[in-house]
Amino acid sequence: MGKALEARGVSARFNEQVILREVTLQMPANQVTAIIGPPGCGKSTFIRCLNRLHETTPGATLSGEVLLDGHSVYDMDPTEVRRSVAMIFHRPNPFPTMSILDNVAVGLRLHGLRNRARLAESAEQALRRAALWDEVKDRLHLYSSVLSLGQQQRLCIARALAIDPVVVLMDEPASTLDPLSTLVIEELIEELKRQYTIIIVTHNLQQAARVADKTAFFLDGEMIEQGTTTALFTTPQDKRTADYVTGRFG
Amino acid sequence: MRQVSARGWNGLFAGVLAACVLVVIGAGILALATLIVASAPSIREFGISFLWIPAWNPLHRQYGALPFLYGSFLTAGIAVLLAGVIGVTTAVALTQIGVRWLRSVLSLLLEVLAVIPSVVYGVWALLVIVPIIARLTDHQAGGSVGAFTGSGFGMLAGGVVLGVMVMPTVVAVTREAIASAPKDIAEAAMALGATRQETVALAVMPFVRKGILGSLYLGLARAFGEAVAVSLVIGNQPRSGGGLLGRASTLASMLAHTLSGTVPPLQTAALYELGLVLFLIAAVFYGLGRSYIAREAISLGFLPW
Amino acid sequence: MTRVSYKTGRKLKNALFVSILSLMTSLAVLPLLSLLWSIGVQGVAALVGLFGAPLSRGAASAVLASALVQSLITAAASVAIAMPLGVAAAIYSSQYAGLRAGRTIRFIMDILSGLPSILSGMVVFVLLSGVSSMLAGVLALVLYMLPVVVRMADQVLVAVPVAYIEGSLALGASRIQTIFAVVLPTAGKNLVTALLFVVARMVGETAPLLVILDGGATFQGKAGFQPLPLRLYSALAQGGSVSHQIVYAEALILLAIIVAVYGLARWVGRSDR
Repeated sequence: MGKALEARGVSARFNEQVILREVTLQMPANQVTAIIGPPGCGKSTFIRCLNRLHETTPGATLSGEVLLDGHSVYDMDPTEVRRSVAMIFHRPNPFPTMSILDNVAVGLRLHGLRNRARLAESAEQALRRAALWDEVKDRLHLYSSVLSLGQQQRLCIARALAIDPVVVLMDEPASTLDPLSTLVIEELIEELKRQYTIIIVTHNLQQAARVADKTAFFLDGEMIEQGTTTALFTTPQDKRTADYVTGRFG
Repeated sequence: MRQVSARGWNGLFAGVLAACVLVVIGAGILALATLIVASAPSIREFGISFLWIPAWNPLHRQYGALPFLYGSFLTAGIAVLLAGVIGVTTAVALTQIGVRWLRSVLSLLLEVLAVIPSVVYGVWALLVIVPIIARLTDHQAGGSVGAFTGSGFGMLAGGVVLGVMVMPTVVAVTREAIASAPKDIAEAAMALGATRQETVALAVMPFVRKGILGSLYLGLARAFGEAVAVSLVIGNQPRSGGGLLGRASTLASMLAHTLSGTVPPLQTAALYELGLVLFLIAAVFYGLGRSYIAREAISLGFLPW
Repeated sequence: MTRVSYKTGRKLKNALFVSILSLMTSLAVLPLLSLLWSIGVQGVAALVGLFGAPLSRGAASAVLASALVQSLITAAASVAIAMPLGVAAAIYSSQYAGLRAGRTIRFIMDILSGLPSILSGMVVFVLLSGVSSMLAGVLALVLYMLPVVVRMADQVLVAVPVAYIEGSLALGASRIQTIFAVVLPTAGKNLVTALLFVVARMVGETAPLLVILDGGATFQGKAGFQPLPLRLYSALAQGGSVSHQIVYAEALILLAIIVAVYGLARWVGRSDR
């Protein structure tokens, strides 16, 4: 089952440049929370703070708290945090030097699973959850580059699911995909939220409206407004939100 | 393709520039031709066997490159081994761990290491490396260079000083290779909960192997060509065999040590043939290194060779 | 799915990794620190010794001054020949040569710039049939430096965005106008930096000068054409009468000059962010 994630007063910088200012946001368990906003508003940086990936970039600093099921992730070991809070990137990034099977199994291997049969079993399960199994079951030992871009992205999702996370972060997961693959991914998200808490960054408003239960609007590093997706899109409280969701800018 | 207007000033300008290119390339060809002509008597006398005649004996008019090939390959091997192990790990460290200001300070220091002239390395090696080796090994093969006498001179000293000189190249090229490795793959590994070490092993190293290989070839080329510092510490004794602590000579150190114009003609020709051999070996290693680096689209930056 | 935790082992492995990296990095910088320290200490002591004693002051300063002046003249002369020629060739390879010709030129320059510096001295020695003079020294340095200059300048000029060049050509500017108004100014700072790096490398270059010294009679220790690096080398290799003091003082001065040129190059090439 998914677990709730909560950001409290999260601020982030690159060197002197402030990217995020005091963002506070609840991301309920087993729901899809969408983060929307124009390019450069800090939405990607925000979710990179949630799995402690932001701090791995040279020059990056941050403050504030992120709570996973009530426990601060900044008090945990970063590798453990990232194991519980998985991430899908905007461009499919399977390991090009590994086979399809190894791509899915690598996370489990890292975390100590050595038994081949169990690895294969877990990989199959993850590939099924990512709705990719039927397409790859006959070529598990080929390099991941034989797959289409959409399939590669689902492979990345399978890779993330294999380590049994509780939260899945998605950074514009469909932005480089064709409409059909995008549809597949969106259907998958719908399916996945039963088991995981999902936070998706997107600049595609329709996508947010289609998949998200809750939506937060970011602008210039600040969280302007949050609410249920329906409320945010139909009765926005802030004028800037209204302008953005009606397409007046961004 | 950019088309050149063949008319008027533009054509003349382009012509002058093209002439400059030809001058530079011509100078290179002239250099090679000069080496061949100057070594002709020796080539005629010894033929290809020059490469494996195991002695350099002016008294018996017997000249062979084997002792120097032995010295060159061994010292360059020591150098590239040292520089490879230390340089590659340092490059990984400078890109993966530590705070940023420390990284940039250390990078700067290593760049300074690259511009220090070889004769200054020679002075340092005489002051520091040779005495250390002398103290660590109490072998009796004493040697002397000028005012510096005692033991510690030899193959090992030459290899170590070469290793220090070659290291900045290895660090710089490996660092560039790591920088041009895909970042999203490394982030994928980290997002799976990989530690730094696992990220490097899984998602960085597979992409930099060729770059590292290229840097080692460049290092090898430089180690072969370096004459001055080595000739001050290696003991200058052309012989095949003699081990790590024995005195030796490399192709380049021999050239630096003995080309004095007062030697008999055949010996001069033989020396030039040594130069020719050095030319070819350095060109092969350097070419290999550059082609690996070019294939990986690694920029050498301002590294001055 | 099963969680198999073996956290401690991984952490240990990572800690070991970090410590090995740190250790190796320290080993990598150690030689530089040792070099700066040993030559700094010995050099300063030598300078104090030489200039502190009234007897040696005159002789020492005469020797050092002549070596310095010879070094500077040699360097200036070879720069004056090699830089214009090399940069011109680089303009051709980066702006005029087609894709294949450019690649060929680059490949040849690459190979030539990797050749051992001692060979250029030997070649000039043969070509001038043993004539030894500052001219021979300058030519040897030029021969060694030229391909390096071309390669470094070409690398900087190629980096000028094609969009700028096309923008200028689209305005009706000729190739020459484009090169002088767009390409060179855009590349300017980096070009100067690259060339200064070449100068830093060349000032201390000893090997090309070696074999042409005094008709090759290096080890007879004649006076004459003796720039700083050459004096240093022959003093070390020749030994005997030459005082250690002069050697250390010269090494320190040479090191200081080169680090200064290097610093200047870095300063010119600094990013103004």
